[in-house]
Amino acid sequence: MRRRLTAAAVEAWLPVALVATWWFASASSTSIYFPPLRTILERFQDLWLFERVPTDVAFSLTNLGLGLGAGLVAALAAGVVFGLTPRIHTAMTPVFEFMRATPIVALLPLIVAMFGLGVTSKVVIIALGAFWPTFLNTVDGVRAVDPLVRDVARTYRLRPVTSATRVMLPNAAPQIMVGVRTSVSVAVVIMVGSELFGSSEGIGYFILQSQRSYAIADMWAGLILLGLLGYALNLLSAGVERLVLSWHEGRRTGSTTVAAAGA
Amino acid sequence: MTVSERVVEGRAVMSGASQPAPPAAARPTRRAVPAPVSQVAAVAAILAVWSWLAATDQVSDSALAGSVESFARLAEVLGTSESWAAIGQTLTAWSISLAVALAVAVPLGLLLGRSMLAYRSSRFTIDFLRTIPALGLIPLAALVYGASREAVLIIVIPACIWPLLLQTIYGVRDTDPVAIETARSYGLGRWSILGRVVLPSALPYIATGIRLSAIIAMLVAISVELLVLVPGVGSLIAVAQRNGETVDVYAYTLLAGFLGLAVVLLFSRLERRVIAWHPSVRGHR
Amino acid sequence: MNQSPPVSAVRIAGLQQTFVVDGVSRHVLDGIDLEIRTGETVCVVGHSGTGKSTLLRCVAGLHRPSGGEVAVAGRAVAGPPEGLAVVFQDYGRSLMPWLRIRENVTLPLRRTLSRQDRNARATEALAAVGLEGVERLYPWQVSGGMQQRVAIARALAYRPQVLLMDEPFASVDAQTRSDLEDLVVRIAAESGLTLMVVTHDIDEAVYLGNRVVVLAGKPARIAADLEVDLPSGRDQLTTKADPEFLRLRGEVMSLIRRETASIAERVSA
Repeated sequence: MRRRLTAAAVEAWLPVALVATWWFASASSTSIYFPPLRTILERFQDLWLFERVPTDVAFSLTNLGLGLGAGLVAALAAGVVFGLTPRIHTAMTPVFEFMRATPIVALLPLIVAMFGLGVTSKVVIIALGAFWPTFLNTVDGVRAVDPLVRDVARTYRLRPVTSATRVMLPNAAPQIMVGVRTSVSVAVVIMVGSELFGSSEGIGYFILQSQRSYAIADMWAGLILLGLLGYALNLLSAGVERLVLSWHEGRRTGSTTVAAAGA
Repeated sequence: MTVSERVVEGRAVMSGASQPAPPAAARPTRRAVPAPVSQVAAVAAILAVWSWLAATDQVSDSALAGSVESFARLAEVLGTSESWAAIGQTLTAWSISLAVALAVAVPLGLLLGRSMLAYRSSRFTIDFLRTIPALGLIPLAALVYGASREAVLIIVIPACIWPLLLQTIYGVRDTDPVAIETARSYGLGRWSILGRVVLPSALPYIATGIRLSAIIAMLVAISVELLVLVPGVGSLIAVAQRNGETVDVYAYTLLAGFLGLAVVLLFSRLERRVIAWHPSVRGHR
Repeated sequence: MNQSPPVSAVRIAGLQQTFVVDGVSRHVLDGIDLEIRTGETVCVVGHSGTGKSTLLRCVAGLHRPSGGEVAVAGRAVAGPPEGLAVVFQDYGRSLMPWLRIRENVTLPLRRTLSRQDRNARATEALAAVGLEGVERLYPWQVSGGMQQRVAIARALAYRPQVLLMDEPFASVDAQTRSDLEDLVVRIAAESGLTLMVVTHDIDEAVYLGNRVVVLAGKPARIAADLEVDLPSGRDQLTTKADPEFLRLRGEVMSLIRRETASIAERVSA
């Protein structure tokens, strides 16, 4: 009990100290850029608990969910296809390298020109950003699938869909999850970027608008929300990873050998 | 993405008892097309599809410029001092960010990797701060610094500190304890151990971190330039778009892509060098 | 019942296999002719590296032969044929660690059967290999011998006409090995399956087979094709002490030794 308390104290003292420092240092601040934390938190309560949740937060999260969903599904499907066709993959490598190296936010003007300023362009660009990390990791993961596992899939004449979903993807899962977690954080960044470029809704837009109208405490409140959101999504993707890879962890630690030989 | 997550291509090949089995690549007869040929063909095919899309009326001309026009314009703008000035601005912001990230993240990573107390104390704080979406800070940066290089730096530097810091911590924690014990038994001091054992052993991880940070720095720098209109390659894209110069938008977007590609290729090579040289890998190849 | 004219379960004619690895060509199999009748258990025995597994992989449709023909149940093999299952040596890699044991066994049945039927088949097949109550465990939670039983159960649940086994017991301990050998003998007798077992263990080959095919040489040819005339109710103790068993075992051993010696001569000459 006591040890656990100590552990918690070790983990918690720095964040607590940082927030306390911010609180006291800003308490009597008259700078327009850095309002007192107290004011910011009050605004946070007014704004985000829960007045603007149905509008800005819902808008952002819907775009994020749709974009991320589309991007990840496309990445997994394309990743399996290219992972299983090494020659085509080799041919496409320069194209992929170029696409991966292009700043996705730099594509915003093009995407907006094609799809307008509405929701579509935001979902498209989030999907595009989320696609690459998962796609590239899926290709690598599938290419590294044990040849014996492929042989098993072939000799038992599994249907392509069964083979992809039950054999190739799970086998590549540890590597795929590395990509998925990167995709999630990229998607959040792109979501914010897309709302700073000709948008009229969303958390990013709210922060920008607060800044433009010198509602600085509102801007800070928006930033805090964004930080919490980023952290929550990271926790969520870590949780999904643990769930997806539970077999992997179990096998690795080998803690659960149940039965001995000769049953 | 850490070094350990790199997928090793070598695989056991066949199921028969320790037989020197024919590898999967040993398909009889069929000759493969050499990679460079197929790659040129693939790029040509993509450009052809792009041209075709632009030529048909599927997408309006104000949204999609042809591939030939776009590359021609790229060649054209590369002859102007204006775009070279912009490239210079972007590269300056990029290199300052990377240098600051190196100076901060590597020493901090060494400290956090060696001290369990420091690591556990800062774990939550690092996890929280690194998940804040970098571009969300743009309004704040623009408010405080305006459309200036400082606004770019204040966003890019933190964004590229995190991967390098995490990689350094992983690398330090992955140092073979036996090597440290050995050094200690020979009477090496704290600093010697850090400099001669821990740092070299963590180097491949740090190299990976530098590659990740270099790429992120370029991506974020161009993004901020575009969104805040700070002079640089990013703002060229935004300005072209405001002026309705579709071909220019494509040309500058390609330029941004090539800049990113240059960073990826350069730093991947650097990383491979460091890793190839590293004793832990050398023995296995 | 009017049976269709008896076709051999596996027919191999003039099989050639050459691999090119890093520009160096390696001739592995040279003119293999072999017929396996329906219901027979044929053991292919030879030194490690002779090409036994290559032969098996050609039958399984995992390698395309460089020359000659392979037919399973009368149909020429162009890819993994229908009605054929393979048990690989490396159970640790051939079972999917992310699937529970039941799902591993039912994986090949997803094409044809409803979930209920699949599960019933799995339970039945697992019982046939002496495993009960392990359906919900993961393969890595049970011992190596049990994992290989699961792999066998997976093959049985598939209800193949031809079952290939590639060094199936080379990775388990001696006691488990003889248990598994008895299991295979029993299954072969009860199911009427056609079995082709590749092994480097001469005792195992003679104990399991109705026929023992000796593969030797570089490139490998069939050095001998021996009928095993032992009573069908085999038993580790009595069968392995049977004079006929000992005679066969000695014959196979000397054949392999002679081939090895003649290769050594040729190499030194």
